[in-house]
Amino acid sequence: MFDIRIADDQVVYLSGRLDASQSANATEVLSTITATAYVDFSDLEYISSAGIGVLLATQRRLHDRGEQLKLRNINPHIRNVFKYAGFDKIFQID
Amino acid sequence: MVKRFARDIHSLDEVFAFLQEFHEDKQVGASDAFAINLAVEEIFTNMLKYETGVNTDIDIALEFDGESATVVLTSFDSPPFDVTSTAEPNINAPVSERRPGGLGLHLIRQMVDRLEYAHRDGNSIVTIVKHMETRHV
Repeated sequence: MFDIRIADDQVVYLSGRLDASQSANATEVLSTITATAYVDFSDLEYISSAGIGVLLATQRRLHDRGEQLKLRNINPHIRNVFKYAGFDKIFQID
Repeated sequence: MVKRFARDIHSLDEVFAFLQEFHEDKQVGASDAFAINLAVEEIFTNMLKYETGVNTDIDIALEFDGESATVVLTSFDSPPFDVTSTAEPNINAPVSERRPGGLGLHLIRQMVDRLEYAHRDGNSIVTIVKHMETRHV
C-alpha cells in the first residue's frame, strides 16, 4: 500500500510502496507543490523507477521556478537506489 | 514456484505478495529482496508498456539454489522485443537535462548479477539472477 500526504508543515510524507501502479497518485499530489519542500521518506519501504521519475519531473519543474524538493529520512535500500540514479547530484539529501 | 499474472499494472500487488512468499521461504535478506522486487517490477512493467497489442498473461517463476535466486518472466505470444535493451541514462546530467527514460534498466543492472532476454517458441523470456549477499537466517 502507498500513501502520500502533505502535512500542515508543508512536508510531503510518503509511506508504503511507491511502485508503477502508484505513480499517478504521487504525481497528482506532487503537482500541487510550487515552492521548496521537504519529502520525508521515514515510512517509505520501497521505490522503483516510476516513483523516481515522478520525483525527477517534480524537481525539474521546481528548478525552473528556482525552487526544489529536499529529501530526508531515507532508508539504506532507497538511498542506494538514489545513488545509482544520480539523485545525490540533483537533490539535497539529508 | 511459478505463478501466472494478468497483464495489468494492478497485478503488481499480487506480484509483490508472491515475491514476499519466496523471500520468507528462502530467508532472503532485505537488501537482496529489495533488488529482486525492483528488477521484477521493472521488467513486468516494461512488458506491459512495450509489448503493445499483447493481451496474454505473464508467468513469473522463482528458484533458489542455495546461493542465487533466479527469476524468469515469460510473456506469452509476444513479438520479439528486447525489453532489457535501452540507452543508458546520463545520471550526471544537470536536473534541467535529466529524463526518466532508461532508469529502470539502469537500476536493475546496478542491483542484480545477470539480466538476459530471449525469444523462444513465440514467447519473450527475461531471466534475472541475483547472488545472495545476505540471508536472514
